[in-house]
Amino acid sequence: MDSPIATSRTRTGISTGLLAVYWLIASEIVIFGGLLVCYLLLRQRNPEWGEFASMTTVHLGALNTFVLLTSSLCVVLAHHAAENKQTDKAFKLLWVTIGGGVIFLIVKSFEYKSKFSHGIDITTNPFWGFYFIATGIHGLHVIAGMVCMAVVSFQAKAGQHLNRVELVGIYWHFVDIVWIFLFPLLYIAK
Amino acid sequence: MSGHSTQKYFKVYFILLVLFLISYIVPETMPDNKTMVLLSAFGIAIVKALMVCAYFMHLNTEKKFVWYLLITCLTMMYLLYIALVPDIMRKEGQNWKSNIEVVMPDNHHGDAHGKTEHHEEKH
Repeated sequence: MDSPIATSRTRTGISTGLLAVYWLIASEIVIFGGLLVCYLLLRQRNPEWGEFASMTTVHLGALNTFVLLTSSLCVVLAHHAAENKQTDKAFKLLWVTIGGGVIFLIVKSFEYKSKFSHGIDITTNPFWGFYFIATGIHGLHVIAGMVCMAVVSFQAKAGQHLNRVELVGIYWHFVDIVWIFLFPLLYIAK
Repeated sequence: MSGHSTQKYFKVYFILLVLFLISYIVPETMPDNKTMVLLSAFGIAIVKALMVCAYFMHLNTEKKFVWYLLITCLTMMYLLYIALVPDIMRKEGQNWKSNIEVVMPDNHHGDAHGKTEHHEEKH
C-alpha cells in the first residue's frame, strides 16, 4: 500500500489526484453557488439590504482580499519550486501561505467581534444570516486548506509526493476565488 | 529558465492587485454611481477569477475535460437561479402570497439591526 493503485486516468489523461481535486472543486462550486444564488435573488428582492451591506467593514474585507491574493502567489511559487525539486523553498513558501491564512482568520475574527459587540449575529436578519454563513463556511475552507498544506509541506520537505503541492495549491486558489466573489457581494454592493 | 517562469506569476499578481485596487477605490470615490460600482466590483471580480483560474491554477494548459466539469457546475448554478427567480421575485402567485418584510434599523450601531418579519399567507 505504499503507492496508490491508480496514478492516472487514461480516459481523461489527468492524474488521479488532480482529477479528485477538480471533482472536489466542482462539488464546492455547487455548495457556494447555491448559497450565492439564493443571496443574489433575495438581495434583488430586498434592495434595502444595501443598508446592511454598508455596515460591513470594507477596509478589513479589502485587507483580506489582498492577503488571499498574496497567499495565492506564494502557493503557486511553492508549486513551481516543487516542480524544480527545490523542496526547502517549497516548504517555506507553503508556510508563508499558511501564515496568510492565519492573518485572514485573525482579521475575520476582528470583524466578527465588532459585529457581535454591536448586537449583530447570525439570527439578526437574513442579510446577516447570509453574511455569517457564507464567510463562516469560507473560513472553514481556509482552515481545511491550511491543515492540508501543513501536512503536504512536511511531505514536500522530505521530497515525497511533490505533486501534492500542486493539488493543495489548486484547492487554495479556489478558496481565493470564492473570496473574490464574496468581497463585492457582501462588502462593496450597497 | 526558472526565474523567467516565476516572473509570469509576479506579473499576474501585479495585474490582480491593480484590478483589486480599482474595485476597492471606485465604490469609495463614487458611491452614488451604482452602475459604475457594480460594473467595477463584479466585472473585475469575474476577470480576477478567470486570471487566477488560467494562470495560477494552470487551467489555460489543462485538459478540456476540467473546463467541461467546472462549466457544467456553473451552468447548474445558473439553472438554479432561473428556477428560483419566479418564486422569490414575485410577491404573490395563484394560491399563495409572500410578505417578507425587513424592518430597517433606527441607527447603524444600536441594538436593532433590522429584524425580519416573515408572513406567508395561503388562500
